[in-house]
Amino acid sequence: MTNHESQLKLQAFMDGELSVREAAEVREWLAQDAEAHALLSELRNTTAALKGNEPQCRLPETREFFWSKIEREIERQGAQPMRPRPVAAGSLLAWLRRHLMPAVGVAAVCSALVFIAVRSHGPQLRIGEMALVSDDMGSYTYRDQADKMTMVWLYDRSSADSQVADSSDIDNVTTE
Amino acid sequence: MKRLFFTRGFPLVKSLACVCVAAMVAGSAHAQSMKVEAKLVWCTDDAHSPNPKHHPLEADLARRLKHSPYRWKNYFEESHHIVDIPVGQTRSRIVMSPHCSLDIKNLGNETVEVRLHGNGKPVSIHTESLSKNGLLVVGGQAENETAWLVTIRKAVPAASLPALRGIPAPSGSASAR
Repeated sequence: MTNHESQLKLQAFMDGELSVREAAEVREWLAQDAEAHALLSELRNTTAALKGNEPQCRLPETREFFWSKIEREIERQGAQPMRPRPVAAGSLLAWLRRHLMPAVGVAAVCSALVFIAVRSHGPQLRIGEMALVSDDMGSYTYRDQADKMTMVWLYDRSSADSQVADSSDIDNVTTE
Repeated sequence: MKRLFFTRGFPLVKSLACVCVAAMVAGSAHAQSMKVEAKLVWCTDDAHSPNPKHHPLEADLARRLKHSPYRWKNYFEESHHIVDIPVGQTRSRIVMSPHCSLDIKNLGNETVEVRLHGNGKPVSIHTESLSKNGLLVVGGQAENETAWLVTIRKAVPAASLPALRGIPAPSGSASAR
């Protein structure tokens, strides 16, 4: 019966890693144990199969020469000065794309901001609405949809007489 | 397959063209102004006004005022102004009388915001569309069963004034620009 430790010892024997005394013990064990002998045979067959079919990757040139080529190429490219990309003569489209595209973007953003600003200053009251600033004033609103006329009648809550303008005010009007 | 000229290449050129057209349209719309007419009217049942500077209100406007619940037999024009207001801008302190003035803001789309001031103090704010001959009238009671009215509407082109008014243009009228 071969346990795991015995199997490892058998593998070490096959690889020639045991001392002379241990190797003699293993030979004695193999002579007495047929199962151990069979396991050794299987291990040898497996090792032989792996050695015979192991892929061999070989460079067409030596390792040092291969890396030296890469190093030389890096040094060569580093030594070259950076040159601007040549622009095709008369390439108006390339010029427009380079110079006007950012300007168009900025103009679009500015237009949007102006539009928002104009809209934000829109009417605070909806069309047809009115608001009294003074609490002392009251109002009646008459709307004639057919005649498109809106009349707002203001009155002073505290007095029957209007204080905004009276007849004397009107009499004193001086036109420009 | 053939394609229309505008659908061929040059996306940047097309984009620029669109931006330019949009800017022109927006600019022209924003630059539009509206001429607004504001009148101060004195209303009475008397046949004549004691003020020699008064003259009868134009017939068309008087007819419209007589259709309101607040009606008098006669309407006399005290003063009137025609102001040209660009969209988004305000004409401030349009003096209708020593005690009555207006701020008119052009909100666009033929809509105005009118702020009425009495004796220098704000009284009321009105937002009204003046499109399609729209008329805003703000008024109040005065002494001896009379009243004052401020009328605001789009200025009528000069060519159509005689037909509408039926009277000669008042000598005391003025334009504030």
